[in-house]
Amino acid sequence: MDRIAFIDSVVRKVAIEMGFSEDDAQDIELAAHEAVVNAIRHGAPIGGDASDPPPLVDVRIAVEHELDVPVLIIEIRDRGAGFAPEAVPSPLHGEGLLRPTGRGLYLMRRLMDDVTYSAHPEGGTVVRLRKRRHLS
Amino acid sequence: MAISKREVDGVSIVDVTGKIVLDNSHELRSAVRELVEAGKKKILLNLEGVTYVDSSGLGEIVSCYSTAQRQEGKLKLEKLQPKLQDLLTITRLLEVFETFREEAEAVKSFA
Repeated sequence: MDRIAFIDSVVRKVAIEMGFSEDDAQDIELAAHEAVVNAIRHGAPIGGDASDPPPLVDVRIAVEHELDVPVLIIEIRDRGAGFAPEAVPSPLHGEGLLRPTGRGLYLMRRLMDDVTYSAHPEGGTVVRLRKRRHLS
Repeated sequence: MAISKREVDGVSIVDVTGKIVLDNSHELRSAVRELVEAGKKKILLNLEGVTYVDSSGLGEIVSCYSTAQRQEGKLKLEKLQPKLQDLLTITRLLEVFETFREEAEAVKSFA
C-alpha cells in the first residue's frame, strides 16, 4: 500500500502545483488511485502465482496545454492481459448498486474529464486520465 | 484506520477515523460483523473522522450495510465529510443509506 500512497501524494502535489482547486486535486488523486489499484490488482502477467513479486506498473504524469489551458495527463500502464471496460457492469443500477466491488472505473470516469484505454505495444493496458484545469 | 465502538440508547456506534481504503477496509466489515453476530441490530457508523475513501472503502461500507440487513438489522451513517457525501451521491449510494448530521437525530431514528 505504501507505493500507492506515494503515487497518490505525488499526483495530488502536481495537481495543486498546476493550480487545480483542492476539491479537483482530491478528485484527481482518487481517480489516479483507482487506476493504480486496478493495475496492481488486475494487471499481473498471465501465468503468475501468489509468490510472484507485485506486478510492475508504470505511472507517467504530464502537463499539456490546450489553448493556454493546462491539462493534467496521468497514464498508468500494467502488464496484464487486458480487459474490456464496457463489460464491467454498472454500479449504479439493480444488483450493481449493492455490490461490494466494481465502482473504480465509474469513479475514474466521473472524476476526470476523459478516461481512455489502449493496448501498450509491448504488452499490457494503458489507462489515460485527463483533466483540464477549470477557471475558478 | 482506527475503529472504536460504543453504545448509546441501544444503538451500537462504530467510530471510524482515518482512511477506508483497499488495504484496511476489511477491518470495518469485521467490526460490524462482530456486532451483528452479537445480536446488535441497530448500527450507526460515525464517519466524521474519515478523511479518505476509495472504491474499496465504499464497497466495504456497502458490505457492512448488507451484513446488517441480512440479519434484519439496520445500519446508518452519520457526520459524513463533504467529499464522502459527494462520492455517495455520484455512486447513488446516498439513495441506499440513511445519513445524519447529528448523532442525537441518528440515534432517535432507530426507535
